[in-house]
Amino acid sequence: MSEGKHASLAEKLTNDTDRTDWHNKSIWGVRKKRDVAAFGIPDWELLRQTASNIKDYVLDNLHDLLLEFEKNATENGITVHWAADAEEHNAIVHGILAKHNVKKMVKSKSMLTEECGLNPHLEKNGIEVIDTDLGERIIQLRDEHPSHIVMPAIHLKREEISDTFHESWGTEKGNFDPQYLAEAARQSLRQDFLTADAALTGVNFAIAETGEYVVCTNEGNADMGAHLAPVQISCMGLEKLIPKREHLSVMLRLLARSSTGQPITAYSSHFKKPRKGQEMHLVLVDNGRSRHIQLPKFKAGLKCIRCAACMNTCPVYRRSGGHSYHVTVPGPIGSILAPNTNLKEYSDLPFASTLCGACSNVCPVKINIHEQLYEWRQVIGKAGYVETSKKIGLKVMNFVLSNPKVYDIGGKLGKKAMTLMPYAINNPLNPWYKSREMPDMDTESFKDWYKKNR
Amino acid sequence: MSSRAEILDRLKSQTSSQGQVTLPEFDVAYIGDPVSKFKTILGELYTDVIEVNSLSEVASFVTEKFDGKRMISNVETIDFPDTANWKEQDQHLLENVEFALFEGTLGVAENGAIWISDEQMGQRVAPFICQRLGIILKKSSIVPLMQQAYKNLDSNKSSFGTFISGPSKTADIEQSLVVGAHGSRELFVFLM
Ligand code: SF4
Repeated sequence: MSEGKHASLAEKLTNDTDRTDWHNKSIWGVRKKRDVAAFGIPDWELLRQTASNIKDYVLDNLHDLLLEFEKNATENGITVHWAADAEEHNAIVHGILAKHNVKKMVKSKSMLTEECGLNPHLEKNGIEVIDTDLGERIIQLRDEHPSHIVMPAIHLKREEISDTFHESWGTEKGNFDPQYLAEAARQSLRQDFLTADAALTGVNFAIAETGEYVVCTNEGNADMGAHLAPVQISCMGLEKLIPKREHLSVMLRLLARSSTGQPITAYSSHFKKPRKGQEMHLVLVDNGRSRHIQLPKFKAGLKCIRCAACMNTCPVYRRSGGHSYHVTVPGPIGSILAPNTNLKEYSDLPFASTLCGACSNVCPVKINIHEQLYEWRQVIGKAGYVETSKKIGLKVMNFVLSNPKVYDIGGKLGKKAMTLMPYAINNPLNPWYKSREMPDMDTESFKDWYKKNR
Repeated sequence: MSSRAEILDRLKSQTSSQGQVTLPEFDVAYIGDPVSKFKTILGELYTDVIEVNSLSEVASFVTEKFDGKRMISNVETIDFPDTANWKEQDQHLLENVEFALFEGTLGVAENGAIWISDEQMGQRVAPFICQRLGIILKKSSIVPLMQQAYKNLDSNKSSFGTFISGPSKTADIEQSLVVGAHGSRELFVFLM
């Protein structure tokens, strides 16, 4: 059921105006850093175009590239597994862990395992899973889900994190100095790295030509896990491939700059062969991707490199928060990926957008995100999943815009109404004006102005 | 049918031939002098860049700074007191290393990244688990962009390798930057 889902979930944040502001500002800050980084490179647009071409090539040749990657990775000594869906993925990972009698696994950030629900599956089977990315560890201790793909705990304030650490690790109550809290996490997680029997990582890019893959972190947690544990498992969606190693020079230039405005992440690790005595496994996961690729209008969504720039720039995301999207990958990209997996369940998401196009403008691989949002609305409309309140609004809009007379009169009437009784429009029954101030109205209509000034 | 066969089958029907993407030559002029750009960027990334004339300068800098703590080195002519067998040790025992010293293959001016291969690491976990990290780099190895970096790197040369640019860090608590997340708390780059 999706009736009003995004809208009503968003209220958790929007009902608290200060918090909405705080959330909005802190994410806008990241967006601004991205701009500074992007403007610093004269070739930025050429880089985006090249990255987009590379990813288009990947989607058109995925079959061959996967075989090439599998062959080279296998020759490198990595065991390659194929998972059709989340269930098979979880079973494969559990199988490997069970074979090695693993009791405790450390994990670096992987949205894919979140998508597959790996943690609860392993915990059910008696395996302790420790998320080691600080943001992920915070939300794991709080039993929450990430609200952002790069900054999983961006929705939390330091006081809340301090309380969580106090309860879990006995840190000083009321001490919410980030330095102090991060140090506590470092100490606690170091013990986990040193005692884990296995490590799992996500994958940022896998290279068909060499059979290696790249994992980017700022914290160094993927490396701490992988190089200490006897067993390393890495999980990737099929679309994470790129053809050649030299293509990394384009992708790595774009990723961190788009993501956080950094020139590159602190660590970009290239895993190729197991170290002596270590076992390496790589799980290739489909989970709907090979069906998604068959939809010409939506295929380009699979080019995504998960930088989160589209989220950081989205006026709706910034004010409604990641949890309101009720899906693993939130924001504009999540809203065009999710309907592929369950149209009805996620039929509200393509409507959680103003179609302003900011997302497409920042996307480093040039996905036409806002156009796809619009396309999904058509599909969802035809399937009859548009929620009633939005349907009426859209019908009225359509009627007004396609009837110049109505537009004219409506405008005049509207203005009159606004000056005479602004509360009729700006009232709690009209959801659009929640958290919005109405601008002062022009006394002149556009049509009158145009007549005078043309 | 196996999942592998099913997935490949579905993808096969989507294959459309398109020319392999060749990379354009990207603008390097904006970088200016690669060495000074490299130093500036690493400075912004909370890294100490120290110019030295010889390896013995590095050795005395380090010994003075970390006297009495555990130091390891994978640089041929620099040996610290207890380095004898650390490369053969169980990697977990590197936990108490205060300072670790390595050579880097090359540096990238645009982002301050330094490539270091597993051969140079001695043990893969060493540059991550140490509290402070030192990397010796030749000025002549610094290239302007990632593009030149990958041209100069031979993927057959390492089973593992990483670009390091600065100490480990996190901004997961309310976007406040904290240096020293899980990896090294400090990075010293010795430019020769
Ligand atoms: S859609 Fe584009 S902007 Fe959004 S996360 Fe993916 S790559 Fe980044």
